[in-house]
Amino acid sequence: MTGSTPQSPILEIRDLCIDAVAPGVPARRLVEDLSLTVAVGEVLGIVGESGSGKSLSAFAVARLLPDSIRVSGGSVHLGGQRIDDLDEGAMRGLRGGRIGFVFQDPLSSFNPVRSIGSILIESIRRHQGLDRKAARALAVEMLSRMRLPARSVDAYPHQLSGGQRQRAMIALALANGPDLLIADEPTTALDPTIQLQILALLKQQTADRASILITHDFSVAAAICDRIAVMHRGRLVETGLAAALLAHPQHDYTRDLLRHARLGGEAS
Amino acid sequence: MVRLLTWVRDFAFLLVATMTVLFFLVRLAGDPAIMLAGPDATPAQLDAVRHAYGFDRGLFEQYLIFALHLLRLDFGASLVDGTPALAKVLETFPASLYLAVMAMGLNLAVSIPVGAWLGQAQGGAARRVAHGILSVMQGFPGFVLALLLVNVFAVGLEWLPAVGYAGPASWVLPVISVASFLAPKLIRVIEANATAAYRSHYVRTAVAIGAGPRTILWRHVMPNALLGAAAVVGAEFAFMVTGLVVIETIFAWPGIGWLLVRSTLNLDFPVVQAIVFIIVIAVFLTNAATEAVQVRLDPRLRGPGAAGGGHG
Amino acid sequence: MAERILTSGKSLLFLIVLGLCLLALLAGPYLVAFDPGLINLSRRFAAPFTDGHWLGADQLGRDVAARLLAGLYRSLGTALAATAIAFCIGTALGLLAARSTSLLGAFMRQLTSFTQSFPVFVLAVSVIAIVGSNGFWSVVLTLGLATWPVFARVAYAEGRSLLKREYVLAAEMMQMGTARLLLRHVLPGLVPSLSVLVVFHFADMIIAESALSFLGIGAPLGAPSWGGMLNESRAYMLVAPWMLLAPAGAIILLVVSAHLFGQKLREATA
Repeated sequence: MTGSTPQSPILEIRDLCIDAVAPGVPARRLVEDLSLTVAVGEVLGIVGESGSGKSLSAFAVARLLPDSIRVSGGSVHLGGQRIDDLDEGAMRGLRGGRIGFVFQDPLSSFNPVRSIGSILIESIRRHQGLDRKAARALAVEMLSRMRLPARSVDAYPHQLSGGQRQRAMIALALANGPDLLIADEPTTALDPTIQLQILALLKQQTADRASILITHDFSVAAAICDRIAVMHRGRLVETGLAAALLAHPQHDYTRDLLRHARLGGEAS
Repeated sequence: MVRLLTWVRDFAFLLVATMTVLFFLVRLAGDPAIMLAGPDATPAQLDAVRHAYGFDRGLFEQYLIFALHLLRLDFGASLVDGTPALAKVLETFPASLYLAVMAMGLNLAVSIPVGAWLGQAQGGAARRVAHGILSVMQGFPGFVLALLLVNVFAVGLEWLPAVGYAGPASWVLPVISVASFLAPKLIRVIEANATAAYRSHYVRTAVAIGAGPRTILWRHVMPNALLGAAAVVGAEFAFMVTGLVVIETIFAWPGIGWLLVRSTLNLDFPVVQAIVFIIVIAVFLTNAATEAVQVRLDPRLRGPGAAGGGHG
Repeated sequence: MAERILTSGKSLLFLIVLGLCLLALLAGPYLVAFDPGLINLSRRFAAPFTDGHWLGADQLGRDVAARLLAGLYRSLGTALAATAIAFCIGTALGLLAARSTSLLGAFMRQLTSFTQSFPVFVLAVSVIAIVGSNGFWSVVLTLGLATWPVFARVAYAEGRSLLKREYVLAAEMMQMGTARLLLRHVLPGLVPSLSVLVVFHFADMIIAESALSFLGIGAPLGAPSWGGMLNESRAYMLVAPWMLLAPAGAIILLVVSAHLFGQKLREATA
């Protein structure tokens, strides 16, 4: 089997280029000619070291980038519709609606002075137009689907444990039934024992949507990804089915990364 | 409960320390009998005054008597007109409170939107100009500004009364003067907090759920920025008392600061002691209120409440 | 770093203002032909640049420039001396409290919260008025003694963190005496933050001195001071605005430039 997917892709990234721009300085290329596809039910792992451009590439899909970083070329299609040229208002309709995000550090990613529920309700009402009561009921349902108690809807981030916060973050990402789920190092900030639970929970939610998992850790990618793309210095180095790529890496860089991962694994 | 006890202990310490320092300064400064009887009094008159006010007793005994009177909130009579000192002070307190509350209201009404605006994305000529003005305003002596405002708007243009305490027109200049030395600092703090919030991960989360710029500013950034500024607002209330002393004198605003200056110039020390007493209490209550408001607004200070329960 | 601080626009303004002050202090007596107390009723309200009155004359015909210069001596002298007193007492007590264990440390904390919340100026006003003497030194001493906790607070907080550093611990193990330990190893580490504080405090003391003399509490009646000039100007704002503008401009220039310099210094040392 080749790297192509059996089903038509939900997400299609073609020749994506990302630049760092600063006034008075020539633009610096961060990601070069990246092309990727993700199909329904598929989990794509993007693996690379920090600075490889893996997070930027995924965030660029929804233009979730700092002001100093711009998409400078290529195209992004979601469900057959081109989305990289959408205006800001239309893009806002996608963020949190058709595209859900799970971030690395759930403590700093939740507003410390707002309850978990208020963020969930804000997102649900924005995208589904429900009234406050219905939105709250849906928020409680989403939380309980992530095996969080109903009362956690009124909890503040500091009142939850790290694992609970990340479950709440996943509930937030899935609240409006997105077509695309993007998880950026979702387990890095968590205790090792909880990492597996969160990965399993994520895997359960990937059946009827396309998912991207960004990680520096091959063992995380191996756990739940169907396909793996390896990035190095802003370029796609290698892509293939997870089992095949892990067993027979084609590229030197991938081999290096894998060797280091194994050495690290043995050492710990 | 423990909190309340610490609170009462701190309060008592503050009050006792201030009043003790003030008592000994007054008594050690010179012979109060001469102040009372006047420089031309005969020795016999002086003795009579000393005896009448108890100045012929030992210093420690005098302090005990002073402390006992203090417990009954008895500061003695004003040396100027013989009315009870505390009553005289309490009479002027509302005027100061009005001025303080109005100035703080103006301060917040200006600082919150300006701080929010400056805290958004950087750059732009208007922002640079605003920063320049703020830098200058931060060091600007408030009472000199008040005099210049009087010169322009009351004396020059004759738009507003220069002094007095009658009707909204006479409030404008004093309120602006007091607010002018509060706002620059508060704007800076709100700006810094908002800038930090914009760089935070939780604002990225807000963007990721599709929130627009206005929602992000008022529902995600400003709650945090204002919470951090609450302590500054409390400190500014205390700081404002200093400003009130001079500003009230400039505008002949019959408040506690105006009375303080008049009483000190008249060496009316029972009134001065009562004023310091009231200010200590007012400042302490302000601090306590600030802390209470912070605890009320900041879920992190409320301690663990509706926790999710369970592990993992 | 020094170069970066000194070449910025904000600092340049302060250096120019300081230079002007110095020039005025040195050359002033030669530029201003009048005695600050000389009353000449025939020259009442003389406009600026007439009859040798660069900045005009006041309601008694006294030369405004001469009084401004005399007020400069008082303002600078008071601010520098009061800042020095507050700095010395505050730094010494703050460092000692940081070094000492329980009792003094607890006292310092109590005092810190005390002075943070209490409007010290109010106490200073009452004390100066009650102490009664209108002299230069009573103002200097009161301002210095009332405001030293500003320095103590910073010296205490930063001294404590410095005392935990390894090189200080090493010096401590060599049984260095407290005084030598604090002076040789801790004080140098406090220089950046304390120097910023000195600049701001200097500006505050200029304002405090002029506010006190404005209220008639600082300088003796009739003696030339910027605050006193401001106070006298109030009755004649319409006829002789220069009586207001000259001292107001002097205070603003000195205080605002010092503040800008302090801001720059704080940015550079942060």
